Amino acid sequence: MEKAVPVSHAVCISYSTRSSVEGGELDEAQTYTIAGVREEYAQMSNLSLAVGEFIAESEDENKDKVCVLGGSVAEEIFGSAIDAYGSVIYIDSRSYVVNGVLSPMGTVASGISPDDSIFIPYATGVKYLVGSSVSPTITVIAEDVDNVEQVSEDVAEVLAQTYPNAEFTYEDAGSKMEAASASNEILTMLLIAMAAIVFVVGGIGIMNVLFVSVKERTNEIGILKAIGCSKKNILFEFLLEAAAISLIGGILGVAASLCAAPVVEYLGVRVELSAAAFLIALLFAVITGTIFGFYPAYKASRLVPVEALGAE
Amino acid sequence: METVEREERDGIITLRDVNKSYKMGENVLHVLKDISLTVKKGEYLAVLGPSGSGKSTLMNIIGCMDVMDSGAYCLDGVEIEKAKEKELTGIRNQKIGFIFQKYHLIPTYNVLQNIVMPLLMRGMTLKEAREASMDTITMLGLAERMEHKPNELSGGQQQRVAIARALVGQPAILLADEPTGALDQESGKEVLKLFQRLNDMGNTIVMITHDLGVARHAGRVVRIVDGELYENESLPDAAG
Repeated sequence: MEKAVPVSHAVCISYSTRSSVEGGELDEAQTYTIAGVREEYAQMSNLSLAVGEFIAESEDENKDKVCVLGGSVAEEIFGSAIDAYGSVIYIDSRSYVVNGVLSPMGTVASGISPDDSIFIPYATGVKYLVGSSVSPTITVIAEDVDNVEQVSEDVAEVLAQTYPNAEFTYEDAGSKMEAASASNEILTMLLIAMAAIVFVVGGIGIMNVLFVSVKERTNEIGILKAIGCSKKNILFEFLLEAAAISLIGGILGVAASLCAAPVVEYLGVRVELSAAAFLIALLFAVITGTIFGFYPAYKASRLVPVEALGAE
Repeated sequence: METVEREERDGIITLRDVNKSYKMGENVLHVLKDISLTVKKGEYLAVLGPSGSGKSTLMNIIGCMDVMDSGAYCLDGVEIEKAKEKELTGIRNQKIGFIFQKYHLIPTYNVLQNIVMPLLMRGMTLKEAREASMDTITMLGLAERMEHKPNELSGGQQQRVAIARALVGQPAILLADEPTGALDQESGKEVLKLFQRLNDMGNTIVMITHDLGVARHAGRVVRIVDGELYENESLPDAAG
């Protein structure tokens, strides 16, 4: 493939399956993702090892029963990477020597989450686990991002010529990124729409509270006007009240988010709290209150003293 | 003619041919009809009239809380009909001290806060306003009540707080609308004695009332009937 597609930078083949695993501190067999890979997979997926070595070419050729554990898997089965190194695990009841443990990655490479996977030589897996039913993934990295389309076409052509009866599904990172970007845009629009609704609904709520406050305090406004309070001062007083109400609402909202964050995280959604986000939320609350509080405050400031005094 | 000019020159309040009407649907209600009135500095005037005679409208115009349809009004040298809203706000704060029948104190403020409000609106700090109002508070016997809320006071005490609030800014006139109307007889008498004392001290007082007995305490009484004002040298036995 590397020779057939000249503008490709690197190529690797892999597959993944689920299989039962025993050994180490496991009380009973657990099912893990087993990835059949070759030597070049580590470099292509930027894997780094905490201890030991990755799958070697000779091990793949000899179909050796060796494995490399993901960071989380090593911790689950043996307690630590050091304890796992050199130990034996049983995959589908066959013993495999742990030749290495990966450093924690936290990312997904070629559809496989390295932290939660066990890597074995490609040929070993074909022989003992998946057999001829394997559906491998071929990952090709283009030399330049501008060549992705060309490389995709070349790969498709080579595969069609080499395996005329086989069926292939093609994906390129660009289209995935485009899809991710599109869904990100939809999500952003959704969030903007939600923020707009919250802005309007919250604002109308504050406006109503202020209108009620102005209504209840019409007589007081009349008294203030009678003793010489200016329109500006009355406007400012009610705007301050609106800002204070919305600030209190903002603080309660931030407190509610602090309480909800662990629950949301428990449900599997990643949550990232930041002081900047809290400050923006409070600022947004105050701005909302001030904008929507302006009209009732303006109405209060425009009351005619004699009419306001007569209000009960 | 010369007498009229002299009166106008000496008057702290001068109203000339003031008219005010309200539109009630299709009808126009002429409440004040060519009212002319001069109040001299240091005078104690009672405006006597029955309900609906236009005396409250007259007070609102004198107090710069309402505008007249036509005529001229000069208050302490300021031509009110030419004044803009901002100037009227300043005039209400500095030249007029209002005393209302229902006291109109702010219920959430204590006595001191209610009294110093006009001074705070002039830009004084609370400390300055407190110091400036202490003489008035002591004179009205409210020194022990400064932290009390209006609902913790009797009607008479609340009216004294309202009087203190009106006096504290040393206004050109004290404008009182039925000041004894919501009080019992004893408290009413106390307030009227206080008014007499304030007048003796040189304060100009304009009091609106429908009660002839109350009006008799003033140095001068004018009657308002159906929107027309009459000087009343010799009062009849009953008002209106």
